[in-house]
Amino acid sequence: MTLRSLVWKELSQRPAPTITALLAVALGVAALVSVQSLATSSEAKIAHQLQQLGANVLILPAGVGLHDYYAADLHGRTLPEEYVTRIALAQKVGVEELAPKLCVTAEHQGRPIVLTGILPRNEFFQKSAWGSVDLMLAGLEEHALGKKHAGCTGRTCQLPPADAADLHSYAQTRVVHELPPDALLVGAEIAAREGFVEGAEVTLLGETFRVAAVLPPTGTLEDGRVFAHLHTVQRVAGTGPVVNVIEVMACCEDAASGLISELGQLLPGSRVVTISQIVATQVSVNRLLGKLSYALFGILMLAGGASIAGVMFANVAERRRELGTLMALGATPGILSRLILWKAALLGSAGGAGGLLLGVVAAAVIGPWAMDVVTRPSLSAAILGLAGAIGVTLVASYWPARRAATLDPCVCFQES
Amino acid sequence: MNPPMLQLISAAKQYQRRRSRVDALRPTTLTIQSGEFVAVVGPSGSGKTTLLCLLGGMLTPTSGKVLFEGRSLYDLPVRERARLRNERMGFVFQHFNLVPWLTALENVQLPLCLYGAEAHIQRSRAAELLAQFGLADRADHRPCELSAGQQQRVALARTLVTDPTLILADEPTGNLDPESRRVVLEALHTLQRERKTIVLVTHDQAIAAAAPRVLRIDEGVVRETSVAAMGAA
Amino acid sequence: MRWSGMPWALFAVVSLWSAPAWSGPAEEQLAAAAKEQKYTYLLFYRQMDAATRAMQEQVSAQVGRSPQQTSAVFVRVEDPAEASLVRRYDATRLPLPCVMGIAPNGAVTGTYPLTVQPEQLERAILTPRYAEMVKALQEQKIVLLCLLPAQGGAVPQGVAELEADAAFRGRTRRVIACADDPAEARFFERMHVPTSLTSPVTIVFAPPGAFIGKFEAAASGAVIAQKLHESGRCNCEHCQRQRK
Repeated sequence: MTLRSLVWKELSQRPAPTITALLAVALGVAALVSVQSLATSSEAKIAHQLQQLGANVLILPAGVGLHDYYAADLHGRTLPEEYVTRIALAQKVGVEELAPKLCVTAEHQGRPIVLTGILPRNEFFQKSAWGSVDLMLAGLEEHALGKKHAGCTGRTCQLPPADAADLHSYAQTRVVHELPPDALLVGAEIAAREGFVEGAEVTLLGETFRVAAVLPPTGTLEDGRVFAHLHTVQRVAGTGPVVNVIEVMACCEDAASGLISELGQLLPGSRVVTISQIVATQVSVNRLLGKLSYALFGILMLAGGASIAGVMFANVAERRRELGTLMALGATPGILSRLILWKAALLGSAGGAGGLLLGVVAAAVIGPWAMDVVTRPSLSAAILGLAGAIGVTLVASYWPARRAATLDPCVCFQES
Repeated sequence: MNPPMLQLISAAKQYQRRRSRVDALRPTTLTIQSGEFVAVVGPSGSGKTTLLCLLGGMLTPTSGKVLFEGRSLYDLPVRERARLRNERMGFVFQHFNLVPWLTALENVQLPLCLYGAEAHIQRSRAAELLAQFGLADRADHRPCELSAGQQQRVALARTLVTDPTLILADEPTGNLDPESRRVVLEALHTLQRERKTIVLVTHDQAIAAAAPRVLRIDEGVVRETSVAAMGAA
Repeated sequence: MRWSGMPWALFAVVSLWSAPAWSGPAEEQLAAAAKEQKYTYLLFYRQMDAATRAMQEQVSAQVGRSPQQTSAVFVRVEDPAEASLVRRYDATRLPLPCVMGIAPNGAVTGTYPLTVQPEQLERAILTPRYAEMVKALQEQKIVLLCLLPAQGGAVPQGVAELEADAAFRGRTRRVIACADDPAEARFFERMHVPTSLTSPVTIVFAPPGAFIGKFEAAASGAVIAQKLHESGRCNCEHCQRQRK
């Protein structure tokens, strides 16, 4: 038997009072670890998405909020499709591609299906070409296209024609060059659910489509959608020439940020946001969450510390005769202090570990459910949480430990 | 010639209680030789426990000195005094003072644990002592699973596990049934025969009568007395 | 339709003079104008609102200034008789009103939605070679514009080399304009090339109208090709950092 095993025995024999005291500490660590893990994983996901999406701009009907980039067209409000032509004709610097979308609900064998109208690039390439004369003029005179974005073709224009022609590439590039009016592109998830295979005929909203491609899985909401030519979708859904969102693929970040005010003026009654803004908003929300988690951690640590101090004082008080007896048997005040502090360290470790486990589990459950993020535990939060839990319990137990050390050993002769 | 086991030289202890001074032990000078069996008697609150604490190095006297084998106990550092209690002294309490969440064996191991003895030595020595007191089969029992007599025997085993030279006992038979009382007294007499020094606080006339030397305390004043005088008192 | 007020009185006079087409199959009128080597201002509108009226005034005034060279056709997008033309230019999806300049060869030489300025209408009138070049760009061809000096000269070797390059075969269109052709003087001016040039100059444009570069006669096909490949790059700081 050692002094440490003495501490362990006492804890294991009388765990109840300490478990409740540890609750706040464990919750603090859990809050820190879960929120930090969620924030870190969410930021990693955003960074990954940003890398995939490039310098894009979204044009939405005014007043539409945006929480998920991939659900930007699921708000039910519309913009006139002529806005696409306006952008194509305006030949704004840095506009590489345009991807308008219209989202309608269809049914297949009684089950709802999200049918999304997309516009192949040849449609707006043609309209852009109607401005060739002005474009040439600008190029020659180094006006708008000038030095900064001269020849800027960014991401999508470097797409080899073969890739653009392959309809399967839509999953990655979000652009198709040409799309027959009856062609249907099917997301991986919906294809599996409905048994859609390439070449099959599918009737949606009374129109017969042919499955031209089953798209590879992307891990986004788009896996659960089917895509057809925008004008076909407009016709079968009877919406008229409208869209829910226009995605503008800009050549680079500089161009994207410059486009906001220009597009805002060009398209009255619309809301223009860049992916960077969306990301910045999400990142700032994450950072706020992160800061709040630190605040919550701090508050719960204070509460937990106070609770532990109370429990430890009570523990020292109720064990006065026992501690006095230990002194009579040869324990020094230092040994008594250590007994209390070891107990605190053990409690802090247990509370921290419990909180850590709870936080990791909570993040793993909440991440995919609420934020569509596969959560990875944040190592720094785990270390901080554990260190904080042990530190707080040690600090909270310092005065009880001192009290134990200064106990009058004669109490061992008193009646309990 | 060896110095006496214990010496009080004008040792006194005063407490401050609610602005009034309490003389727990008035200046006392006495000597207890090695191997002596001394019974301390006196009414409740007379200062018996204070005397025991002073002798055990657990209560610094307000004035005077307490010598243990010629060394001034309270001039020693705290650590050294704790070491002396651990290695040379043994305490027996009226309420046994067993640690409730440890088994009988672990309770007996405690002084050795504080001493820093190796685990197997702790276990074998504690088991030996428990067997000596007829509690081998109760080694894994917790105090709450033992009778009062068994608890006191465990406490005695704990006292003796470090083979102390001085035993300070506070009413060791106060809470015991006659049979357990007999066992405890037998043990104390055996220790006396082994030339252990025993200072025993008791209210029990019979035990005091059996002691070769009796000290009586009244209101903090210690006097040498005899059994006859005790009876008269 | 409301026809009232002073502007409309003026417009009525102009329209009688330049005979713009208000109704009927506009496609036929467009074809007839092309046959006469006239440019047509094709005005699509949805309703006769203030913007449409203002645009019509501008167009009619322009046609009035050069009746031998231009004509105007006004098309209501919801007119069933004009469905074919509306579909060809996807006019229901244009911001309306919208005026388009149509060259005799069918090239769209300008598209101006909502409002139009006289200089824009003027800019939509091109020289023959210029219109040929725009047509080629709208057919997704890379244009190799060879501007030759007045005293004559051969098409630069680099142009032929590029046309033979496997990467560009079938994707280019050669357009040749001579400095001694008075009809193309304005084209030279637009291209910022003096008609007094002494050796051929090649200007390369990529669809839809991106200026790739201006090359001297000695430039090889490889040099032009390299420039074309590089045109897929951005010069902005961000992209430069990205490339590093």
